[in-house]
Amino acid sequence: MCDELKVIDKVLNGDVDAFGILVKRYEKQIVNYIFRMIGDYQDALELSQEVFLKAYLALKTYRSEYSFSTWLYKIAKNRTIDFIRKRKLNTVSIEGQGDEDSLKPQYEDTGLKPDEVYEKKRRANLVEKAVQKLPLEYREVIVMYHIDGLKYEEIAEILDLPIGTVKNRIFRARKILKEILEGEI
Amino acid sequence: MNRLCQLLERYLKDDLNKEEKLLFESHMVKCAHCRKEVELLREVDEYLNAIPKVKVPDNFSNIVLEKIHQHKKVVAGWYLYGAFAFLSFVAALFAIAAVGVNSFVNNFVFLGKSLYNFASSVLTAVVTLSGSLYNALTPGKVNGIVLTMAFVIIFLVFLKSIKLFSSVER
Repeated sequence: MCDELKVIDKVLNGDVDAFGILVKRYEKQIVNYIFRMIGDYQDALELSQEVFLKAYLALKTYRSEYSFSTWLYKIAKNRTIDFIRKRKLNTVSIEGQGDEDSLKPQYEDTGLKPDEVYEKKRRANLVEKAVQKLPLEYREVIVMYHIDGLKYEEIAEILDLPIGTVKNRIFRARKILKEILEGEI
Repeated sequence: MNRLCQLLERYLKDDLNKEEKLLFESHMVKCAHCRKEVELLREVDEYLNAIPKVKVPDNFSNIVLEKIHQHKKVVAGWYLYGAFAFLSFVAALFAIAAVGVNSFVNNFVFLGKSLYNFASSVLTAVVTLSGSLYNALTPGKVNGIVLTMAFVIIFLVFLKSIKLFSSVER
């Protein structure tokens, strides 16, 4: 955290390349969050780059009493919602909803055997599709909590909601997912 | 269903205090309904936690930095453009002073006089202003001001085109 503030100071003093340290630290979370929200890998990469550019330009307004990741997520969340509204992407499939030439996502290595990989991939695909079917306000909390591993408090701060509402939304989202997945898995 | 079953939803929302949590967990051992609900939702949790993360390309941060540098170049271009415009304006003023300060001052005096006339009589001012505009724009009588304005416009268009060329995205 302290180290992060030093990096931010460096960037604010004109060291643009130091911003690369912050990008490296949060790129995985931001790209995964945006990808799970919009369902298209190529768009997610482009949108994530925009988010970091926007963060760089607005870095002067960042206040150290909040965590940098929360601040960054707020930018990512607002940009993603703008994007979804513009494209009217309320429900999309996780793969293949874009162009045929659209870049396919590469997944991290899980270290499993091929048959295990197949089964895991099949289930993950079903769950991913179910997540995409969730209404936006449920999808964002599920992605933040389960995929990005954020805490209730962090999600509440990013979304400007009371913790109780966040817990409630996660609970409702799981219930909806349970209904969607029943009989499929 | 007993009253402890009512704690189910709050348990699943992780909203119980320590004692309530212990109480509910001991209740769950006996209550098949609550146990099943919890197991089902835990299963969903497990599936969600097992969703694989997508990889980020190795050059992602470099692309971001490149975009930042690109953006800074564009902004710097605009500042440069503004500075050139300002310098051109100052140069134009100097040019006016050098080649025809008398006519330039006369124009100002004339304008002041017009404004004064406007204050004293609207009719007189309109007539005077129309007269001065006619004088300035009469063909064959291109004066220093018109030449300078033309020079500045051409110069700005030239700068703008250089800026556009230099800001073409790769």
